[in-house]
Amino acid sequence: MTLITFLLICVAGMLLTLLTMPFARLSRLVALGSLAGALAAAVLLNPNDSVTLGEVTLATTWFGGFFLSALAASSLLLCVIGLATGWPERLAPAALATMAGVGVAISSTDPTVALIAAAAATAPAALVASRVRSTPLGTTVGVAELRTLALVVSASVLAAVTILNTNWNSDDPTFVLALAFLVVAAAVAVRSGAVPFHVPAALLSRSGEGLGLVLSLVWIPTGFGLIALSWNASIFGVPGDWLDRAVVVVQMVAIATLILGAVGAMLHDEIEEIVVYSIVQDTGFILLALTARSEDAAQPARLWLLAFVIAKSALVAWAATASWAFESSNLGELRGWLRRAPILGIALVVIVAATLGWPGSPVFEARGTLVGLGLPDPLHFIGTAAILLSLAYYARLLAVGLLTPTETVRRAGGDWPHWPHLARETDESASPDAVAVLANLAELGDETSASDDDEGVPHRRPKLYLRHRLTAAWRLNRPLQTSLLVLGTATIAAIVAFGGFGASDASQSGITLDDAAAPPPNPSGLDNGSQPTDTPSAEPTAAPTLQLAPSAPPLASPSPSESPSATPTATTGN
Amino acid sequence: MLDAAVFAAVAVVLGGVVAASARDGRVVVLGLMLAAVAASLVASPLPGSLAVTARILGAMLAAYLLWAAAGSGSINSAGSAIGLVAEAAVAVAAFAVGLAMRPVDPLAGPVEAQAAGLSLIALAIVPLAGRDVFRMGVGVTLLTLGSSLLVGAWSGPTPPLEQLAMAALLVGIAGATSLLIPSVEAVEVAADYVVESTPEPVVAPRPVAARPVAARPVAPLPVAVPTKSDAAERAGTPRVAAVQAVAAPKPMPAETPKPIQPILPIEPERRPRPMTAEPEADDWLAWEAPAPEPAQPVTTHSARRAPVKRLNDVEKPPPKKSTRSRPHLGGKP
Repeated sequence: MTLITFLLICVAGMLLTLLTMPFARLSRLVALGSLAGALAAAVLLNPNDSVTLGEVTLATTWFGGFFLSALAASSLLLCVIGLATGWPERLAPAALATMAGVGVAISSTDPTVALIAAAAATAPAALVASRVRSTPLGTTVGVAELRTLALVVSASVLAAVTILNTNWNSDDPTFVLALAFLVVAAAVAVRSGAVPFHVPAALLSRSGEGLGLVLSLVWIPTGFGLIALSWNASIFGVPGDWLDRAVVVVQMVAIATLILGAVGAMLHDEIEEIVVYSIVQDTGFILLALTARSEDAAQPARLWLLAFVIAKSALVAWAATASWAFESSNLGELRGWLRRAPILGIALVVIVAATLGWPGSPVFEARGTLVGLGLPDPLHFIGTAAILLSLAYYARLLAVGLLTPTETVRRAGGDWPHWPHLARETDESASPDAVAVLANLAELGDETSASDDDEGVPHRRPKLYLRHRLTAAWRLNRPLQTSLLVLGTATIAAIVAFGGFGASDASQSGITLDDAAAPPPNPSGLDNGSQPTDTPSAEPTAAPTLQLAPSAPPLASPSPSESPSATPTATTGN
Repeated sequence: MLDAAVFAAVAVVLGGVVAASARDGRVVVLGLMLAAVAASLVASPLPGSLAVTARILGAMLAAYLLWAAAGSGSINSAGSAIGLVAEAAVAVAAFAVGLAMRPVDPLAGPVEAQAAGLSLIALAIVPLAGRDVFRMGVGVTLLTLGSSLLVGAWSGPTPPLEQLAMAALLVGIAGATSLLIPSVEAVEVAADYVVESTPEPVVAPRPVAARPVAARPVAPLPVAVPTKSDAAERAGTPRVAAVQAVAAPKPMPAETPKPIQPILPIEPERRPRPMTAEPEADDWLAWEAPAPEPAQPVTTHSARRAPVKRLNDVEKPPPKKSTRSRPHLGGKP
């Protein structure tokens, strides 16, 4: 019942937010209320809840509730930040629609329902992308978005058919598996903007999307990636030449994403583009989890997805706040930003810690495990290189902030606390914000007192009450409040990345589809008896049983050295 | 005795052909709706009434979304790139192949579903290869319908929740398509961008004095004269500054008209500034002094050609109708 409540809140909130869009304040109120309700419903999800609709059961798990809570919390925090930095009017309904689709996908026991729901959950990205349809970029972005949707739908359907263990009339059934694996990996890569499919993401970053970027680049790819990973080991964890070749292709894409994404972040000067390429780089780990095809990769992949969702949401919020506070997103004009906005600087450091971690921390170990299982031994240095490159562009951001402030940065108030004080509008030491505030205060003051200035000219100064000062202080310190919100989001990300809030335990439970991944026995098929996940960590119930057509030759049982989970190098044929 | 699935499969293919080849957006939507509704019936045994109702409602909602987008006038589809006959031939060929092939043996669903699904997927290829957003949305919808038919053929009857999820997916695709279709202004901007990126030869207008003398009243003509600032702007940017003027509704003087200053030059595309909080109109505590609204560059044909009032323009009463003929433009008659 708790799951149905969550789904109803999401769908009703989405519809109400869209319907009230002409009324800006009401729409914001409805959106924030719906997101808060969705967060409460996700937190209160009963891990053992189940609903049967027809022949399909929707069941919740601990990790499913945790993941939905992470999505809802990120959405709510970003929308609250958007109240100051610029309301992303279509982000809230799109996020609610995505959460509803992901909620159905990760709770369904039927693979077809799960994959179709996951594909449907990617469609709301158009709500955010449609903001640029009135620009020359509109057609390009629209075409890219629809092509991505087509690829996701094709991949989902092909994967569903593959999971359903159909009797392929083929001499080599691993060809079908390899094709399905390749298409699913391509869908994940394209949806998340992995190199070389990063052009739509780069276009979005140049379109002034602001906070809306997080939906297309973080939330939706993560949800779809979670579904793809849930049965990855049990279905694709079989040896085969075609599968090995497909895995090599995906490994190359993952390596290119890990390296070139970081290089792109270092080469660009707009902080939105830096953020986008940073996100793109970290999606390489999702691809590595796909190439691992091992049950051992499931837990670190889930923990990484949790940390990825919240940390990258915080990073997008950081970029939007910095752009808003300094009225520029160009790194050249943002020299010295750290001096004026130290809280934003602390938030960035916390985000870096949540994303990269340090040796021994759960997120660091998760990244290392994914690199170790997803890449052959000679390429394990890629993980270290990715960390160093990430540190390089983060350090660049911080170093630029320590330089001498530019006029743009000096003009902005920054996130230091301000207290309104009386000053003349001609006072050159007063910041423009303070002058504006005091000008309004002067209008508010109902009592004035006359005084003479230095030249003996009578000057009327407003007499202000405390409530006026408090109100003015609230308005003056909006950058401070926004920076504190970003810092709060980053702190939550860091806590989750280090296994707090029960994230480590939740990431071991998986989602419903994990348990349903093992296909039912097919009376018309021939059980080849292959047990590819013969590692000690593999659950006996999750071990796949590849059903083949009667004419197909049975696959030989792999030796432990050939098992993809035993040695990662075996998956690439090396 | 023909099964109902056969008729439904034929209807699916017909709807797909219409959707893929029609030029009118509304006909395309009707074809899509026919295909989507009939696709839910290509099954053996037929799904439950609730599942069919969900699919039909989903198809109608998806069609409505596309219909609304088509009704806004922003869709100017070029139709099929290969023509109706070719589309029909492709569909029939794919249908025949689908009836003959056996990638899965034995089939868990009707073979007609496989044939219709393959036919729709074949029809979706050409729209997906283009750059027309509306036609691409049609292609994605056809691809989704075809894929669902293939799942039904290869995996057997679909449960009701899957039908519901498929209906939601179709609505999502239609909604995404209707949202992503570029507006009319965007299309014009894109056309302007292409045209103005190419250097245009500056053609000086003929001298007014050299114009042929008209014996009858001459309507006011727009005069565009390149000015010094205009030329300087051309030198600085590839875009050609727009010089626009509307002649005053008065008899044109005989002397050479004064050069007209450019009113609203087109500026190169700017990077959008970071979003800021918009002040509320009724917020009495709006402390931030509202920044002056920057002049928006005129980027559309319609806006550029519309008469623009300048600051130094004086409101003049409309000219009275006069029975006198206009004075000759080229000096004394």
